[in-house]
Amino acid sequence: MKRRSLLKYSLIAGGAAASGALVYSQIPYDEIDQEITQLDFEFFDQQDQIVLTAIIPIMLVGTNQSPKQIAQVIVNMDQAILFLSKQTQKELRELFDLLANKLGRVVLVGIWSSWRTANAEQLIEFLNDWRDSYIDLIQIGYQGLKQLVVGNYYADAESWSQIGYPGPPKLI
Amino acid sequence: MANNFNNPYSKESLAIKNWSLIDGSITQQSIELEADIVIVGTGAGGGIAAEILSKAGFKVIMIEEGPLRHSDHFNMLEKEAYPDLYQESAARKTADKAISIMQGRSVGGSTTVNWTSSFRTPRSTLNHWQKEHDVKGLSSEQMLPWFEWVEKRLNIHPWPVPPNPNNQMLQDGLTKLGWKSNIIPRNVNGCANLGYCGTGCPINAKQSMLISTIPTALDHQATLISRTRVEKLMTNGDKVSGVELRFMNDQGQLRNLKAGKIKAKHVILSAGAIGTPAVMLRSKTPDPYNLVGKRTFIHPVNLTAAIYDQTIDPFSGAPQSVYSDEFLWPEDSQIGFKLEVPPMHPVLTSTMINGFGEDHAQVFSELPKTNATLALLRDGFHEQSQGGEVRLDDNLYPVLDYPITDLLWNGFKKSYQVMMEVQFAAGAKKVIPMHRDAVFVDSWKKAQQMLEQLPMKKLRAKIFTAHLMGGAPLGSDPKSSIVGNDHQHHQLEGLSIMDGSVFPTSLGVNPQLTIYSMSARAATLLSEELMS
Repeated sequence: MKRRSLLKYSLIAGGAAASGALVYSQIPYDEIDQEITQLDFEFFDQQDQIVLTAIIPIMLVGTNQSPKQIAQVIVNMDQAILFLSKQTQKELRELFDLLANKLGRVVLVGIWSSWRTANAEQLIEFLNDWRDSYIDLIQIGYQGLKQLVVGNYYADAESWSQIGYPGPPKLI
Repeated sequence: MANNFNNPYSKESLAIKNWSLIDGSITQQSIELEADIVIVGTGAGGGIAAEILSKAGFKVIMIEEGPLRHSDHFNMLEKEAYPDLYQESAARKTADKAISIMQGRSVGGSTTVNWTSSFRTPRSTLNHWQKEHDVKGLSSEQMLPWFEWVEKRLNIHPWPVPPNPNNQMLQDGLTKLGWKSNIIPRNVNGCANLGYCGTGCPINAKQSMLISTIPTALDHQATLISRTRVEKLMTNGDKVSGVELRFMNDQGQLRNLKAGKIKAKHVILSAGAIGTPAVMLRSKTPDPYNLVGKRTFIHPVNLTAAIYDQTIDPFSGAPQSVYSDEFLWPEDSQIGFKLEVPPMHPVLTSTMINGFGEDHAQVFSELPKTNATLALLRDGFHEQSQGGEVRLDDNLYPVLDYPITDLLWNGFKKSYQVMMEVQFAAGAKKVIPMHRDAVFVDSWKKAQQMLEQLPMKKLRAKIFTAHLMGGAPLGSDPKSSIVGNDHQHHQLEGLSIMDGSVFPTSLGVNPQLTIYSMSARAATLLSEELMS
């Protein structure tokens, strides 16, 4: 199929991400958790936070992310979601419940062990599978997660030097 | 005086002005008011109507679901601007999530955050409305005085400063290929070429409704109620008698507090092409021909990105200053499209780059050398382009369904091709269509080969809209329109619609000047009628 050949290409690109992910093969969960305990959340419960602390560092491989920034991304996401429509909030709640649920994790994510014991390759494979899924709802789930994670990482000035963005001009 | 850039809403200014302002997110009191005219929404349509009608001596009350934010708040940070100034934090989407919707939601509506492009309605569009949609009184000649009035009022003029490099690339590529481009007229006064129109103009150069017509209306005893939504129209027989309100909290969600109502002789819906049909659907206004919320048009947008050797800094400088209509009115039966560029700031751009991890970070690290080009498709003119539909979800909140037909997919494919050709002609090193299965390619030939393989499918191609139109069309025939040529409802007395929802099709140009001009005409006609 035509799409397959393109997907092959993106798998090669995915391979590059996999090697980079080795940097984070040991996600510093303890340090991230420490940052998180100092913050307040309205939308995300503890189960959601466990899922996010596994996904976010993988999505942000290649950036200069720190445990503090990862925790900040989760807070930013939490706040951003409160501005979405009730229907969209409901859909996101279902998505996070699914990811935090053992059956959902095994069947739809393909991670048999817990989120925290999954290695970087498994997490990358899960994200790639969801990105390229033929099921619309799965694609939508990936796209929603990705937009929330990267959007809320690049929302803060700490990330800008990596992309050559000087920030807004100073007004006199 | 501190340099607050002549902010009409600064503390110093408000202290001497005695304006009537109510914030529905903090008030503890239910509203019981009466007015001659209630205007629902303060964007391009409502803002213009508010000025004209309050100056004519009517007691006007403006209702806006977003917050009152102004240049004291506009700090050019996406993180703060999106939740404050956009519908659903700039993450609104169609029901199937295939199309991202950029729509303003604060006092001034989308005019507070748009990129200032100000085009007169194309003659061909107005002719089409006349011929195919039974529209009368809106020929180019009849609209001319209204265009001229608005252009003067909002200081609309072709941008006299050289385009920023992001726009320059579009112009260069087009010129090399022998295709025409032009300079975009903008509604600015004292613009410092910062590039942050999309997060609210921090120096009040943009002549949005926020700083032009709304202050004039407030000077003329109008009341502005922000963070408040119109839940329903009140009716008495076949006459509209006012509106029922709901207060919104500071996250844009409904408050539980009873908000009350406003009695009015006339109600004008100016809530935009999603909000206006929503009010009508919630109110179950008469709709004998099943037209409300149907034929919603969005100028669906696709984009390509290109990386150059030289610095582009696509986040800096007037966001849109060059356009091309070379492909807007094709002679074959394909859909036409207009070419422009989008500015690129970190948050939105990050969500548009393919993939995650190192792939994503690597592409993004080239932001300063990146240019993007966009095509907006002229939907609604073809049999195979009947637009989308606004409906209410379980929470009585509007959602948009917008099916992408083969005609549109063919248009996207063609515009991807044209845009990449233009970018290579402008000297791009590598180019990518904004599509989830695409990769960067370094030649025009490879780009064409890739395009042959790219699935033209929803959720794979990245599609956007910033222009919401239709859903309550204007025309002479009640069988095909909701309002008459005077913008008044065919069935209900005391109800007008003045916003983009009255368009029978899309326009083929950014819509603000059309909405301003049609609303200026409609508000003037209404004023004359109510006076007599």
